[in-house]
Order: sequence, then C-alpha cells, then structure tokens
Amino acid sequence: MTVFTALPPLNPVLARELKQRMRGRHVWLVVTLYLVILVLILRWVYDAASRDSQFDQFNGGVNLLASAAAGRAIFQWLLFFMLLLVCFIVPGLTAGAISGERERQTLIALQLTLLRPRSIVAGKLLASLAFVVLLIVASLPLLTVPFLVGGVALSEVLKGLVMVLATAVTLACLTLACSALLRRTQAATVVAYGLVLAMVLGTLIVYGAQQVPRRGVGPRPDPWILALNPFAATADVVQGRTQFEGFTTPFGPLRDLLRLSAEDRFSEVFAGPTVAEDLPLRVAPAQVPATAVARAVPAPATTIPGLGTDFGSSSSGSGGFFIDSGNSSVGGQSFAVGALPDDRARLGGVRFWVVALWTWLALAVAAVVLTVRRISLPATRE
Amino acid sequence: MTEAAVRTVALTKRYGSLTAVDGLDLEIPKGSVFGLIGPNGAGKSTTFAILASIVSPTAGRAEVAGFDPSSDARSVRRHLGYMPDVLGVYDNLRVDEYLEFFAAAHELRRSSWTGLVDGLLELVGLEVKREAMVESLSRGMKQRLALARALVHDPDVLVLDEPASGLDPRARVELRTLLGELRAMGKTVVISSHILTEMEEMCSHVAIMEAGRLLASGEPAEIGDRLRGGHQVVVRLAGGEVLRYTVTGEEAQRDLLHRLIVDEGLPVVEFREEGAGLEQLFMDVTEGTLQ
Repeated sequence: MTVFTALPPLNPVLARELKQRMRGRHVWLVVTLYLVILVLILRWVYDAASRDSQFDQFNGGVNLLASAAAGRAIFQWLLFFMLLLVCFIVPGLTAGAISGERERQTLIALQLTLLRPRSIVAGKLLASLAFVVLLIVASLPLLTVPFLVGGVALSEVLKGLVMVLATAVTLACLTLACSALLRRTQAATVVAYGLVLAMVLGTLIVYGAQQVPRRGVGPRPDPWILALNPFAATADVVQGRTQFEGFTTPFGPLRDLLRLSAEDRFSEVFAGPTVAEDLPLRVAPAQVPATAVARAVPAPATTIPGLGTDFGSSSSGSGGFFIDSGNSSVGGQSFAVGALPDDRARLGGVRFWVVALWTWLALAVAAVVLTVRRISLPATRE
Repeated sequence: MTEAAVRTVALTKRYGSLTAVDGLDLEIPKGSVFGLIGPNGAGKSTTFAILASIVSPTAGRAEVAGFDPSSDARSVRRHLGYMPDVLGVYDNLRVDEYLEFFAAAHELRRSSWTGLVDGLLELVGLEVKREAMVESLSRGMKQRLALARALVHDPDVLVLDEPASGLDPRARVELRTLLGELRAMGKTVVISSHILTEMEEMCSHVAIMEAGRLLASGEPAEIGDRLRGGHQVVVRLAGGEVLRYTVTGEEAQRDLLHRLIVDEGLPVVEFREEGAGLEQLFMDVTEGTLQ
C-alpha cells in the first residue's frame, strides 16, 4: 500500500477538475500573464522609489524611513493588483462551473451519481480556489521584495493575503450561484462580473450618494455599504497607521475615506493632537531627528523584517505613531513624529475589516446554500 | 406472475398547463428489454426522468428495484444506470479517467477501478481506446462510452433514452448485440427509440405512449393479438389473389385453417402468419395526437 492509497480519497469532482484544468492550454498563459503584470507593477514602483531623493541619500546611505515607505508602496501596489486580478480571474474561472456542465450535458450524469450536491459544489469551489492559491503561491517570490526593501511586517503580508483569499472565496461562491441559477455560461459570466463591479465600484458610488444630503456638513454616515468592497476592507487591514507613505499607494484614499467616515475626524487627524510621551516607538533610524528619538520611550519592538518598520501592527494603547511631513527637517526632508488617537475604522464598534469578513462569509454561505438547492435532485420543476 | 423491476402507478407529471405524463400505469418485468415507444412529446423522456430521480412526479408514484425515486433517490441511483439522449463528455480527460471518475463518484473502492474499467471497456468494445482523449472519440464510440458509464456501478436496471439515435448501421448492430449481452447478464433494460424496426428486434416487451398516456403494453405479439382479436394469416393464391384470416387461439386453429383451405382445393401459393409488426401496431394504436 502506497502513501497515496492510504490517504482519504480526494473529492472526485475536485480531482477531475484539477486534472482537466491543468491540461488546458490557457493555464500556463493565465499564470504567466498574472506574473508578468505583477512584475511590471513591481518594477514600476521600484523605479519610482529609486528616483526618489530620499531613497538613497546621505552619501550613499539609505534613509530607512524612505526605504520603508518604498517597501510599503511596493507591497501595497502588489497587493492591490493581486486583488484586482483575483476580481478578474475568479468569475472567469468559476462562471462555467455548473452552467458549463449543463451546456456539455454532463450535469445530469454527475447528479445521478452518489455524490451529494454539497460535494459537487465543494469540488467545484475548491477547484476554482486551487487555481487562485496557485496564483498566490506563484506571486510569493515577488512579495519578498518589500521585505528586502523594508517597511512591511510579516503579519501585514499574511493579513493582506488572507484578504485576497477571502475575496477569492466570496467571489467564487457568488459566481458559482450565478452559474447554478443561470442556464448559460455567458449569462453567468456577465452577471458575475456585474456583481464584482457592483462590489468594487457600485459600493463607492452608493456611499458617495449617501453623502449628498450632508452637503459637506455634519457627521458622515457609517460606511456599511463599503463592507462589501474588497478593496476597502483590504485597505483597512494593510494600511497601518503611518501618514507618511513617500509614494502614492492605492489603498491610501480608501483608508482615508474609511477613517474619515467612521467618526468624521478629519480635522483631528490632520491637526494632530498632543504627542503622547509614553508611546512605543518602533522605528528609530539614524536619520530621524534627535528630538523625535529623544521623545520615544524604548519599548519591546516586534521583529522587523529587513529594514522595515511595523507600522501596521501597532495597536497597543489608545494611540500610535504617525509620521507626517512638515514639522522637522532631515536632509531637506521634513519629518515629525506624532501620536494619533485610535482612528481605525469601525462599524458598530467592530473593526471595519472584521465586519467586512463576516459580511462576505454570510454572502458566501447564502450563495453556496442556493447553489446546493439548485442542483439537488429530484427537481420539483424544470 | 413475473416480478417487476420497474412499476409506475397513475404516474402524472404536469408542467403548468401541459400534462407530459398522464396517469401512467406500467410494469416492466425483471430481466426484460423493454421498449417505450411513442411520437415526440409522448412523455417517454419525462417518464425516464422520473424513474431516474431527475424530476418528481406531480401525482402517482414510481418504483425502481423496489425504491421510490422521489423519496429515496440515493437507493434508486445505486440500482439504476441512466443514459440520457444527449451524450455529455468532459474535455481533457482520457477514456479510462472518465470511467474512473464515475467509479469514484459512485463511491467504489479505488482498488477496484482498474479491473472495473478493463471489464467495461471490453464489454463495450473500447479496449483500444483506453488512453484516448474522450473528445476525440466518434459519436458511436461516445455512445458506447456513455453506456459503460451507466454500467459503472453494476446497476440492475438500465434506462437508455434513444440509445441508437445518430448511430451508423454498424454501430446499431453492435448496440443490439450489446443489449442482448446485458439481458443475458440479467439486467433489465428500458429503452426508448423512434426506430421501430430495431425496437422490434431488441425488445422482449414494449409499451406504446401518446400524449402522455399509455395506449398498449406487453409483448409485441400479445399486443397485436389484443388489437386485432388474433393472429393474422395471409393466404396467397395462384393468380395473385390474397386472402386474410384472423385466427384466435392456439396453433391447432391455424392448422385447421390450412387443412380447410387445402380441402377446398384452392391453389395455395403461400400460407403465412403475419406478425404484428411494431410499425403496424404503432400506426394502429396511435392517432398522431399532439399536445
């Protein structure tokens, strides 16, 4: 008996789908295109960072803050495009899962086996997600670059990848429901991409429309609708608490939107309250002004990969650090270290990204239940 | 009384205002090759779909190998192999992998797959195509593969919807031989077809349906006797005159008829019993009603 025969049998639908997908001509093309796009993004952000005067200054030395900001920018741009590609790829991969079987006239044969509808759905879902996992694994080497440059903590990378995976699972479940409910793959694909657009752009438009009655005055409405937006939730997870990015990051505007929307503390954030003296400073590179370092009380710092800082994981106490331009000057570049109140976005007292994950989970479960019911036999009507 | 492999009692299926199957009472004997005959829209495929637990009846009940497809679909699926009228095959899969997939889906032990696939491919004559990609097979070969798929879990009852459609003459002969082998193996085979001459050769029992209703059921000769009140005997005389007689009862009556004709001194050229051909039966029974 070999090791493989001793293992519990793989879901037959999953095993078959994997075999078929990996033999398909388009697999290597999708993986290659995906990686090429990410490499181009990486190159673009890295070049932009290299051209920046802060990245390599002080007689060939490295400005840690600028380097960290560059690392963060690379990471966030990579993550942003990973999320974007997942939003494009998952509906395309999943839309034909059930409707394709129906079109090929294989669904009845499958339904008349002893496989339970939930096993069929699980096999289909896992097959789609296996490909997404392959893409994520393939992009891991690229995600090591921000580690080398610095500015990103492992926990932040993991959280970001979890959000990408959670987005993929949610979209796969919703697309699978489309595929089960609609007879044609073409229709399922159109509706699935429509759903993605609604989640990504539609939620922003609706939220914008909710602002109209405010006329720029008074508290902003809670961004409940944005809990459906995978980019908003990911922005909340990975943005950390630094105000100094050095480079434009794709999640920045979303993060600002959430922060301002949650409690409408626009003025509070940018005016900057009094610096708390006992806040743990997690970065104290040589180039940081002495005043800033002097005000920091040494505290157990988390392990920082590369030259990075751990802005994202700072969550102790009521405040944290942000680095903003305009207060002090180092080598022609202004820095200041200040404290922020806990401005992380919350909905009903719960962290925004947690609310988002629960919302996605509810959507995914509803979609799976719908799919299972749809493919259960005997059908009472056709 | 012969034990029934499949039984329906007042089986009815309605789709809105359309009644696809209307109070169907059917008994299919174990080990028979049973042909369900009827024009398009007669309700044959709907009946098969109910038997295969694909759709639920609106009223009445069905029983396959003693199980109700509506309430105990899983048990029915263990005992029934279904081949739909349209063949569906997967791309990027070899013939043996295709059958192994269905073996796994029927919860058969992995260790049994190789022997099972070998046996099935031999039965349907596809041994040489074992490693061919499924999409590369001809229609006849796909048909045979679909039959092998329906047999993967060794079902007692086989339901084949239009198994001969689209097949060339050679493939049809092979299919007929194959059905004979399945019958010899003790399986009950239920088939539907528009090609009545073939049904006549393949089926031990038939049922004729029209507009969802059962018009006649039984052995073809028995149906003919019932419709015409007995056997038809054709007597052709020298000079081309043809006389037709209806003989009720046993062979002795036919012999009596023969003796009487000879005694009359009629110049008999041919004396034969005319079988109740399925085509003729079908035309006699159906009215061409559409719904």
